[in-house]
Amino acid sequence: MPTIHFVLKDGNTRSVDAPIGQSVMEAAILNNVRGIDAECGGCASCATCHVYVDPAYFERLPEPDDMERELLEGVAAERRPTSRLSCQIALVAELDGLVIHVPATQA
Amino acid sequence: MISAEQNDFITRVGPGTPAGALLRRYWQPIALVEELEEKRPVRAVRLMGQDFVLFRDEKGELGLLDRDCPHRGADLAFGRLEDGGLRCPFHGWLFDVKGTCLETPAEPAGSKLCTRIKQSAYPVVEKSGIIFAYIGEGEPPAFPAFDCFVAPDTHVFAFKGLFECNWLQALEVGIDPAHASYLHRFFQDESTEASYGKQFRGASNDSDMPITKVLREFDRPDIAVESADYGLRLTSLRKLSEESTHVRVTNVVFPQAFVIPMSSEMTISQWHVPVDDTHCYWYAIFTSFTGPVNKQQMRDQRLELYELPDYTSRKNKRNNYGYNIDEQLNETYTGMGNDINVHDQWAIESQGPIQDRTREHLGTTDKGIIAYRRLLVSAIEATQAGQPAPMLINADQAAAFSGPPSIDGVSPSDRTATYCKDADRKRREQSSWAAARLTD
Ligand code: FES
Ligand code: FES
Ligand SMILES: [Fe+2]
Repeated sequence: MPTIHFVLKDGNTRSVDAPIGQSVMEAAILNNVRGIDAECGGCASCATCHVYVDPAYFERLPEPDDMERELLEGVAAERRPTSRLSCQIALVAELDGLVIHVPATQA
Repeated sequence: MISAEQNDFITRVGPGTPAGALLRRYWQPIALVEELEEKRPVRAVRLMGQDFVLFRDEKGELGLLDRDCPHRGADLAFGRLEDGGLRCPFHGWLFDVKGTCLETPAEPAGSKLCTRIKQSAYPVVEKSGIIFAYIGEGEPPAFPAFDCFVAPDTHVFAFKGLFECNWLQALEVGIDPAHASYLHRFFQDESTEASYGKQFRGASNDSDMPITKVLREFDRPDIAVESADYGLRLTSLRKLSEESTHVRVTNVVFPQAFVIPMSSEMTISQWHVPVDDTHCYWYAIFTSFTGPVNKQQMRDQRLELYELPDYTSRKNKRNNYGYNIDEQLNETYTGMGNDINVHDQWAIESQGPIQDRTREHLGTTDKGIIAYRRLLVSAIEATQAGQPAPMLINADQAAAFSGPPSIDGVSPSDRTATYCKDADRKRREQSSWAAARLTD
């Protein structure tokens, strides 16, 4: 199972193991990682699962689709080049060690 | 006797359990067709600890969805059947039989939320009066061409009933040929004429001896268990005299059914389906080899014991199953009336919500149970290892199945080995629908 390291708002890191196929959002919610809200439950309509993907991993992700791009326009925290919606990132073996930064706010 | 761990391993079937993973590889009965014949064809159903809503849309198509609305979890079993699907009464979200979200009416005009919502939906099919569901992964297996599935609708009747205990002990009563001589003993024989639709009340095939008398007076059956491509075949011999021997052949169809003779004209194909770990439904298809089944009479007989809408037994542990001392002294072995379904229900429910098999002591008559548990354990382990299990068949393999022969009759003592085959053949030749399938 790939490991994901979530860098939290207070600077601490939570590491969780999650099965391949799960989304980064699901891994966070199921492990009670704070700072990712995911109100819509992963159907790409709320933008409250916003995260910053560590640059070392960002390039490995498939491009966001139109729906995600549109939603990224309206995220609550600062929009950065490495912004993604965590519900749209499905875990694959190559993402083992993925580092995710939780933004300051989702609302 | 088995360990507590092993007992859990073979009895518990909730999501994520090893035995649950095995049973989810097969079609499972989930309702009777008659349950969706009411004014509003929507039913809440529970299978292996999971909750679903079963419904028929306005076009008559069946759907099986997870019961909790994907919006905020309200109960879709109270939904409105309209506009091509089932609508949640909370905020009006509408789902079709495939689980596709058709409308989220409170969202702003132009909202695309609906396109990203999908309620889990599961395949369902109607067979001989029962609605079967497949809640496992991937493709379901094909239905074997057993008698109960190929007989015309006029010749089959389906019913069900609730047992308040684990499914496995319910199945294990059906593969225990010895208990009928005790649990179902009647001290007097009724006229066999009034036996229509009842088990263990008619005359054995090829004789006029009531089965009640055979069971009562010949109470040490000689039991043989053989493996079959569909599971197990059990043959119980009761030697009546030098000349004649009573032969009873019953079958276990893996993973959870048995096929047994009910009377000379009908067989019973019965599944034991876990509702959760401590409740199960029996679902039976009664198949007639002679004329059409008198469905009204069969249903009325069963509704004397079973209460709608949940097919719960009127006799149960809260009223001691109708136990009566005088009756036990003079008429029946149990004192619980003439309906043998009550006897079986008492036997298995009295073993506890999940029988504690660390305390049991099996005898030689339990060899069918032992053989079945071996099959079950190896199939669960195979499933854990991602390997095939029995009866996961494709359409070609399914077409090759028939029967399985299940016979209760009296044979010449020197011909018991071929009696089942011969009696089964004779029954088929005389049957309008079964004769058509005989190949030679
Ligand atoms: S969870 Fe709502 S957009 Fe990701
Ligand atoms: S909970 Fe079902 S529509 Fe809101
Ligand atoms: Fe019985």
